[in-house]
Amino acid sequence: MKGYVTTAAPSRLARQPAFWLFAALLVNCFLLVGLEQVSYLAAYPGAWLLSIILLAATAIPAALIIYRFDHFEPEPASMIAVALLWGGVIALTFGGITNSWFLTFLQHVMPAGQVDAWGAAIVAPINEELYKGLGLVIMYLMARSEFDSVMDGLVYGAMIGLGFQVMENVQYFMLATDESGGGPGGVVGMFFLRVVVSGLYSHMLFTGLMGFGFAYYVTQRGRAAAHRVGVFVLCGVLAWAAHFVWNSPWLERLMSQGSGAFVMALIIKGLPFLVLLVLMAVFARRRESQAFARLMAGEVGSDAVSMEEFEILRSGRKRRATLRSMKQTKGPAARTVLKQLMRAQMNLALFQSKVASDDDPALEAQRDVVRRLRARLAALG
Amino acid sequence: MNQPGDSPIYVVRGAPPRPVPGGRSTRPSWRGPLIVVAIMFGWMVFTFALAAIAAPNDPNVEAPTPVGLGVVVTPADGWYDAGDDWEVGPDAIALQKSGVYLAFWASSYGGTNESLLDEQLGYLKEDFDSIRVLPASSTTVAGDVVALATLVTGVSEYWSPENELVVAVSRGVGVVMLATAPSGQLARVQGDIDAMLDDMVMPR
Repeated sequence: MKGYVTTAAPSRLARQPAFWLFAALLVNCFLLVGLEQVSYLAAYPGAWLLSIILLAATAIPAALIIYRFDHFEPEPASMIAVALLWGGVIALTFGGITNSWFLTFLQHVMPAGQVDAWGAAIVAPINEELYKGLGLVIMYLMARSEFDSVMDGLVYGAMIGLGFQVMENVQYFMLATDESGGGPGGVVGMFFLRVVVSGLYSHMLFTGLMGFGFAYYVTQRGRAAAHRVGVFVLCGVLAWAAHFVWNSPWLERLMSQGSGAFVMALIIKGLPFLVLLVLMAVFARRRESQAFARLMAGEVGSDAVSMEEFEILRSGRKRRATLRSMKQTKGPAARTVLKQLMRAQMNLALFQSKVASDDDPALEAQRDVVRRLRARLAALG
Repeated sequence: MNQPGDSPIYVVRGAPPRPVPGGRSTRPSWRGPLIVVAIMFGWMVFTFALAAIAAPNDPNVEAPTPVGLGVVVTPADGWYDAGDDWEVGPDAIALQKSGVYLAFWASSYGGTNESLLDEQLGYLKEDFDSIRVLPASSTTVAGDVVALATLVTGVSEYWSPENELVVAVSRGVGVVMLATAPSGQLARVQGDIDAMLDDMVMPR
């Protein structure tokens, strides 16, 4: 196995200078973010706890949904953790500091009314998208092998955005608590506004767009450099534009005409970019599916993967249905083994993409894993 | 469960390790990380420098603004004219900052602070379905002019702003200050409001 096995396991990450840079930044930024959280906890323990519970209740399902976008090649938990921490601790810290200085600059060169209306739209997209985007670069430098499709970039970008969004929401919730005299009303109101009504149109969306472009640049090496740069720049501009439009005072008059008009204005501002991201995700998923079929071509019909199994593996819906059926007929233990078997079979495609020949020892070892799991499943009745 | 020989393929959570060809692309290097650090701190220094260089400029000169009848208000830093959004009529000015609106009215008035406050609360009641009024407290404005201040929450179908109402009468001139903001927002600019009330000029 020596010579061709590298992974994003923590021990492997630790050999990369980028990881140590990440660790150093994380420790330092965590001191600031941690102190901030402790001050919130000391001032408003009930509201802080409520914020954490509400955000966890929504962020965990959101993270799982993003994670499952890439059903052929789920990202390593260690890399997901890096993405969340980069967004929620490092990008948040650097973004916060530069936002403050940039806004100070604007206040000294623009009329107060203009800064009041446009300051957040000008400052936040520039600084925050820059620092969140640099997280993608650091992750790529840490584990290049984990960026092998545009879907990877989309998932990592959305995860960085999710981390940022969650920690920024805590700040907003605590600010609302402070302004409403310390009661839970501020938290609940802000939760409704920033998570229920507009959660989908926030940092997950912005950095997801950026991640798609970045991954396109680093993975589509068969295309002309100008084309790849063009797609990357376009996605970066889209991420910035989505953030700018969201923060801009456009449609403010509509927003002030009742709750229905308010929600309508948010939809008009956010939905076009969300639709664009969904289309990109569909595109990325289709490409993954095509690549999966191509890589599995040599395996289908062998004792590792039958044609029928291949059809099930290609569809998330069919996989879930098969797992449900297995649980009902043969019990939870059989379902667990089947799930492992499916994952091992799908990993054959990953191995195929990385090795030079069909009889590579790593590939043979993986086929043996599949055979053993199949035997174990058969033994369960 | 996993067999010893299978490890680490059977990873249910997270992806399993995957093989990639060794080579130049995976060789550890400090060059990339150092460039990233340079951009991160470089941008931070750049924004700081921008703020520092621009600091002597101030396009928002907080000039004393006549309200009428000898009453003059100096808007605090960052407040600007809200006349387009809030028509306050003659002998009055409207200002805004970060979603908070504030107006000063001056008029000839022969009554007391208490009667002026009651009058204004009556107007506010007409604007909302209902209002909640905290007990008025005595304060001073324009240096040493005695005034009455109260907090009022208005409730209507579409919005329920919180309001601060301050009234003062001096030498036959009544001044009314009303600040209005979405719930919870007034506290952010309370310092500005207090400063403007304190710096206000009234007939003596």
